[in-house]
Amino acid sequence: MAGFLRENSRPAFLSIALHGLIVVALLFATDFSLHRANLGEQPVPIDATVVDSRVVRAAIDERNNAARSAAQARLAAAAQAAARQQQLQAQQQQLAQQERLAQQQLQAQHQQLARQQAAAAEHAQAIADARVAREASTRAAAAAARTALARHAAEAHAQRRAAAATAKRAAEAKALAAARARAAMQTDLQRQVAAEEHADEVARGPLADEYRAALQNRIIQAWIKPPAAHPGIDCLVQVSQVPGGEVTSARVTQCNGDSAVRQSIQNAVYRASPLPTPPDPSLFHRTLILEFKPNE
Amino acid sequence: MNEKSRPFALALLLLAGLAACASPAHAAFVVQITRGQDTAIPIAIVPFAAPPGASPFDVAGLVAQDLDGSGRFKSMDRRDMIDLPHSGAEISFDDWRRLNDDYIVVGGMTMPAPDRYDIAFELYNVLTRQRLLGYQIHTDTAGLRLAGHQIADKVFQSILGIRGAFATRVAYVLVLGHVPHRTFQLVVADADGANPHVVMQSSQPLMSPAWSPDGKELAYVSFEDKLPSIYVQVLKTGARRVVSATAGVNQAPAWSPDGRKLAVTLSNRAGNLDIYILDLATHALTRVTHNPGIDTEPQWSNDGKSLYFTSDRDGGPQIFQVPLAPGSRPRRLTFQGSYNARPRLSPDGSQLALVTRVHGKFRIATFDLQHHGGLRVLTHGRFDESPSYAPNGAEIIYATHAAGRGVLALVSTDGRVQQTLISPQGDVEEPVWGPFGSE
Amino acid sequence: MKRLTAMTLLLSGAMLLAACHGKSAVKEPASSASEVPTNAAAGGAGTTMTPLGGGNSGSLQAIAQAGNDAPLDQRTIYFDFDRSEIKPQYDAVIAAYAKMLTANPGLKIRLEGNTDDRGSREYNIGLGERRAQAVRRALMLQGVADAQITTVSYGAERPAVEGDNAAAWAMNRRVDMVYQP
Repeated sequence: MAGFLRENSRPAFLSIALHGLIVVALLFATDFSLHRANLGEQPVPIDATVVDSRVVRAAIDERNNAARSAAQARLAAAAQAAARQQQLQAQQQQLAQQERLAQQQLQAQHQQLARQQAAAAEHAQAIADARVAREASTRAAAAAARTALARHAAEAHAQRRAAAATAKRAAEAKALAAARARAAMQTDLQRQVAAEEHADEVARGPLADEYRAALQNRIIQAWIKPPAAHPGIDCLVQVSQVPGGEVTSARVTQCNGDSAVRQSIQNAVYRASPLPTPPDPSLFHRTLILEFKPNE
Repeated sequence: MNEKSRPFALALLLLAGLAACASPAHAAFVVQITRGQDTAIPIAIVPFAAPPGASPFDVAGLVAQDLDGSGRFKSMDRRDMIDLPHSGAEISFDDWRRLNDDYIVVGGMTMPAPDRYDIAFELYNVLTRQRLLGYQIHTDTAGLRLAGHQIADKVFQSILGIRGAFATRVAYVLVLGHVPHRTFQLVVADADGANPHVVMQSSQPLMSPAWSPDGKELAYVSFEDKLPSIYVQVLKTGARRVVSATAGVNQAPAWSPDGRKLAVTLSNRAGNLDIYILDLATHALTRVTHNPGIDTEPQWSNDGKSLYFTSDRDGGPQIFQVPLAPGSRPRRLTFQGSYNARPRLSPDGSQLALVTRVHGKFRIATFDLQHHGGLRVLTHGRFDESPSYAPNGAEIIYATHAAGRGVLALVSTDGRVQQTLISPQGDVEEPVWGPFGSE
Repeated sequence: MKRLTAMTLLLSGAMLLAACHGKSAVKEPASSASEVPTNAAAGGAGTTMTPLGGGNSGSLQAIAQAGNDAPLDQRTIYFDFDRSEIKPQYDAVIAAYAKMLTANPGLKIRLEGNTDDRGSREYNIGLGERRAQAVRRALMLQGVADAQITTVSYGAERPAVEGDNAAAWAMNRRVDMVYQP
């Protein structure tokens, strides 16, 4: 083994490095965007016609998996993730709001402080006045000064209370907003889940089977199978269609057959155009994947 | 995958992986197709534009005949052609699509000089409107049939990915007259049976013609001395020489892949048939089988290192293989049925064609050399014999009985298509398909 | 008158005797092959033929003289499908040929092996050779010298009867025994 590696060190290293890069790249891939795109959410600016065969394979495998719970778990996880995303955004908004509020509070507090300072200054002034008034030894002046003090104190106190109240209200408002956002998210989520469930039902239900069978029959009728297309051949054709079933493109993406096989399957798609339309409009896909896998 | 392409393939894999990460994949609607139609590919071969004032041989008609004969194509009836384009620009693809043609061949002929022809032709895919190929051929009157075969070869290869063998030739034995006054002829003809030439005639039996690998010579067995001898004849000049005339049996010549040796069947005094290698230059004989049974019908492997042959050492005839290294022991290959004989190796070395007996009927079958298993019976006659592969491995020519006489027949290697060829009067026997180079 | 009748009677009697004598002369060669035959066809009354030297041509003549039921006139041994054993019904034929060959050591015979035309032609060459060899061994067992016998196989190439039916096939599975001059 070691000898093998030593002899083929460069290609081995290259192989390991490339494989490592692939693993890293795959680990950091986001795959819940799969669900997002289906829900028709905010436009994601990525070229929709680039379909990687690797993900297509994943889709094929997933379709073949009959366990509904697995799908539901994915759905729930995706919903949760989406909800988390939205929550995050809502939180961000809240945070912004909070910041604004805090700023206002700070300003208010500064103003309080300024007023307090002013009050203190006045208080000092009042004492000075009182000292001066001592010389005048007028009770009114002293009383006036004391009243002023009390008023200032009361004002300060009131302002502090007001500030506290504002803060409390702000907090309450924030709590309320958060609660509302959560509620909104809940209904939104429920709607999305309902829609997804419907699409899922349709995709797995008898209507989808009917559509699939109609497509199969049309393609089978149209495919002139060459002798080279024997069992073991496995080829994928990516088909683009417009509503009504007319084929706009047919591309052989992956195929272990020779040129005769490839020509024949590409031709089959064009000969089958226009393709049958689905019984349920939600079943229409602009992109179809045809897997040619002869069993005889 | 060789050394050079591996890093490139890894890089592709990496890019594919990154692309998968970068782009969100849509959950696509997937449909599986497990069956198709077993029909021939519909193709329109539009008659070529003729040179002004001349009506030469119908080249387009021969192209259609060749392609139809392969069983893989069905050419459109000319009477249904509403339009006669002669170049790509003149093709209105929607019309041909409506007429249900998948492909179309168009072309034209001009005569730059008396007896000289220029043929230009193109092949288009009607569904995708792509031009698949275009060629020009310069030839004379005598070469027009060959030109037609060459066009059919190009079309065949472009659509099916298999080299066409329409321009190659076949050889066979023709027996004329009735017992006991019969005449035997060795005939070389085009693969479609046209242009037969008698290269040897005798009042005594002729057997086992075999093409040299370069297509220039034929080896065969002749009883002209009332005893069998093996001759080699140069086709171009007709010069012939005896290469084996030992006492007793001299039969079943088979050329080695390098054309320097013949494997032959000889007998000893006791009449025991065994296989020997004859060096054509030195005339040295090397014995290969040592068995009291009948060992005959040798065939070389493509690497020249072993022989396939028929032997009844286990009772009835079966197919064996023996390496040519001294001291090697033959290994039996066929175990199904009680009669398997006359092995012929496919050009790619993947299978043997042979004669097998099924419930008393003799039929052509193939035996997969990579997955030894059962036989695949291709034909349905009672007296099918002498299978021989086309050099592109797509079809097998063989002899069968029809209306009490021997005729030529073709079957596609997968058994799908069969047809009896128009055969000359008399009994056709032992057809052998010439190699690329026998044209 | 009496003399005429007597002469007529005498003549008739003589003619009768002559006739009887002629018949018995024809019968003789059939019963004894070693006798010198009198062959009317060879040249008419009075011509005789004697064998030369070892008697090759004489023996050939002897064979030509044999009647239709004589074993030596049966020049062909027939075989069952896919078999090369000599069936017991041909024992007499083998014996007759062996006797002729041992008695005439200069006489040579060629055994031509044949098959019906089903199956592979080259393998049929082998089967035809096997049948010829079976007859050869049978002859040698009865004292025929190896040097007197040659074998050749024509396989399916020289049928006696054409046809895709069991009767024709049966007629083609054979060894022809042909004396060599």
